[in-house]
Amino acid sequence: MMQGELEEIFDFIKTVRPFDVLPDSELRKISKQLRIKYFRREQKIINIDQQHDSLFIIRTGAADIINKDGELVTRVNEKGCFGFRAVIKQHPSLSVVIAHEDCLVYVLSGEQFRQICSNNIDFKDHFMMVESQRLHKALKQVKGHEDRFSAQMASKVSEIVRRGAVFTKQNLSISEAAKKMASENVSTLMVVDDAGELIGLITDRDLRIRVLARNMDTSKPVKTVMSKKLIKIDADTMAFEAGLLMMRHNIHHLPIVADNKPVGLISTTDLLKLSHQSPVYTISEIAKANTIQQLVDISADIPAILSQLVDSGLRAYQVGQVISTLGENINIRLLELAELEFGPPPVDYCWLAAGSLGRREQLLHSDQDNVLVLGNNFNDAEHGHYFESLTRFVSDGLNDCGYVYCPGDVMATNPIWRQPLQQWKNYFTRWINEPEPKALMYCSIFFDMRVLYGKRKLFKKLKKHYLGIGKDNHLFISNLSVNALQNTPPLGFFRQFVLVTDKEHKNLLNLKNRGTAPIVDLARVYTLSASLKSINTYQRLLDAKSSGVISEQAADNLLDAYEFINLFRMKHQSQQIMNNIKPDNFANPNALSTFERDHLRDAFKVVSRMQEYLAQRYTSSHMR
Amino acid sequence: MLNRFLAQRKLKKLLNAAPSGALKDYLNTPLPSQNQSVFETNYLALDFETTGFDLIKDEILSFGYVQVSHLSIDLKTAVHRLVKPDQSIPENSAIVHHILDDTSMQGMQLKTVLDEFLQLLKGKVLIAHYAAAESSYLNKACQQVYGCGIVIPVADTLMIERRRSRRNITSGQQLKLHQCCRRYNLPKYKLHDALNDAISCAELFLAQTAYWKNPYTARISQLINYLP
Repeated sequence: MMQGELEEIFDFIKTVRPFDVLPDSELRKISKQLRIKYFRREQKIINIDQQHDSLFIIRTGAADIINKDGELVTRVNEKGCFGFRAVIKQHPSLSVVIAHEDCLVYVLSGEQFRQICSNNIDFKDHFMMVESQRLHKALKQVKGHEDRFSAQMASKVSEIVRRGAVFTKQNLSISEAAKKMASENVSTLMVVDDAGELIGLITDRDLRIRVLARNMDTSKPVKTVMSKKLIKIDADTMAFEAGLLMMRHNIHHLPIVADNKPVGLISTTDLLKLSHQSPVYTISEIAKANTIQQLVDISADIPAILSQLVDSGLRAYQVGQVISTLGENINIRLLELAELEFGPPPVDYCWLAAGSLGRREQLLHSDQDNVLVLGNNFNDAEHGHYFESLTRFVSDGLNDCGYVYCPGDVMATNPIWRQPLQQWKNYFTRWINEPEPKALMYCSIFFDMRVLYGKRKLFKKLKKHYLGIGKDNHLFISNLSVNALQNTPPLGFFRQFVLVTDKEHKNLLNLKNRGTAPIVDLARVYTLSASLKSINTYQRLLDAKSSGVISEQAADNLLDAYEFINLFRMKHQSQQIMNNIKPDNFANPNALSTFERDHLRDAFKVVSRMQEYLAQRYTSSHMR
Repeated sequence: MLNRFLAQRKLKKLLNAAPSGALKDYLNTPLPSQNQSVFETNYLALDFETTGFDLIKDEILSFGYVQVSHLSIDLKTAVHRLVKPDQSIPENSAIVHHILDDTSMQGMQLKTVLDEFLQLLKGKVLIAHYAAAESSYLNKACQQVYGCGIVIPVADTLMIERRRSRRNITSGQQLKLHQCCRRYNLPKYKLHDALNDAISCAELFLAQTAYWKNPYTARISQLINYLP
């Protein structure tokens, strides 16, 4: 006998969260237990205090959940469920549900629902868990899903490296080492101690400069001429991270170790071979560019790189690091070109990036925030013109490359932000000691600075200065906290999304100002209150955790929230790139999948909660 | 199309001619009361797949039906039955329904399917899209199997739609089941077998009544006809 197959119902239920965790056989059974109801627009689906004892799943249309005070709590769309709170607790509904559009609804009886819950913990968890737990689980799911697509740049270095480690003992003579390098045909030899642990490297260049040029006795042990300042990576590190490390330190070989024992050597060439659209390749192109136009052309590839990185399943902070490294190198190249154009600088200077590039978490469509710190021997009459030209050149170049001018004019072209070290110290002293609103706004920009080019020492002195006066300055921290609470997550009191109201982005979700920015601000307050040096938001949260400024749980929740929102933001931009739309930070809430919507909401909730804690903790002193 | 008075008379006549069994049981059950509300009426939504569109020549290949009570579709009651046809399936209709000779040979005897169906139809209103076709095929099948015809109270979603939107609808195309469903924001099913279409039709009926009068007070007599 042929029973009703209900294949279409089954196919649909399978895509509804959390039904998607149930086995097919269970889902087929559930399909047959459903009832179908229809509600026309504005019709009441559930009345307040009604004992409905059913779970509702929207097949088509949308419904509004409205609380006792007549306020919209949330809007449930296609594939969304409602009614579960009343079913779980078996009490009358606390809200009214009204069809926002014509709705076809599947109804699952409370009895059936509770039975599924009792048989399947994942299913039950979805309805019972608090948002932070749900978010953490979702994040694991997203990653697990994407690991399958993991591209080469996300593969481990140990998988890419072509040959095993070539190494020698530290007491072997220099000539023996050279012979080994010749016979193995390598330009770099790793040196190990008696325990087999990596302690140094010797390269062709070392032999040339430290041995031949100095007429050194080649029977001496190799350890006397090896490089001991070692940068090495673990075998589990991802290829792109190795690339980043090499770019940052301008080195071409990187020893790979497992338990500090050499397992191989990775070179920039190994990485270049991975992909022609790889960031490593792009960085080498940036360094070779000789005109602004060339840099503009290279920058045009950055969106595609972001897209590729997102697809390859990297974590959001890693994508941010790569995109930032590209931005950083464009800054550097522009400064080099500027120095070629205007000649060497008459006094020391250092070029700093603030904002997202400073924090190494730049994405697309980000404007430039940069400043110049000059040596104290700077004399405006004598040197002013040079630096004006230099900063104009770089800032225009950045704008051409897509890093548009800062609307707040926080750029080195603005003479206020092109000052000698002493003046910068005065600025910080004033901001910290007289924290007026504008000063606090500046703090949030200038506490995220990082050197991109020039004399690092200048910035080091400045940073030491401001971390010193900010430390244990309760008034300052509490003011900064108040400031950090200005951007709230886009979540209304009853969990509905709060959308943008201005004309251009009407009814969209602002993923930056109200998505990631609140977390960035929180992380800054945490680190400054403990005088921690880190700038990157991930690092700040990790440091805040290990130094005990916030609880381990709170830090982990924020890290998850940050990762989820950022990942979503990147996917949004990547999607726009694919559709040839200019990437931005505004998402259409109606285009979200149920999964995304639910978990974004959870992420925002986590942030809201941390803002509440912060408000209680630091801003109370402000009130007194 | 009969009014209730004529339907009752025809029913009595048929009852005298019907052999004992499922059809007689059906005919012996009183028609749904005229006074009951749309909400409290029980319905059975039906769709057939046939070997073609010629009532004389063509036969039913499959039945798909589902019950509607309290204006909600109960998927527990969804039934899909293949019927073993007398003639082999013409090629052009097999393409539409994907029912090939092999599968339909696994079908059940028409009498078995009809017995089961009539048992369920008792006291209910049939919902169909263009019910004239469904009722005619049913009538023919009953004559074939029991040697006696049938009278059925039907709510025809096509007629309801035509009445509702007489002015707006200009082409017959717009009255097709799936076009109607679209206007009410109902799901579009990929597969057009008898069961999916019966469910679609039941959904359309729910939508139409939601947009009609108050279902708790409106009488069923305003919605139904008696066919064939």
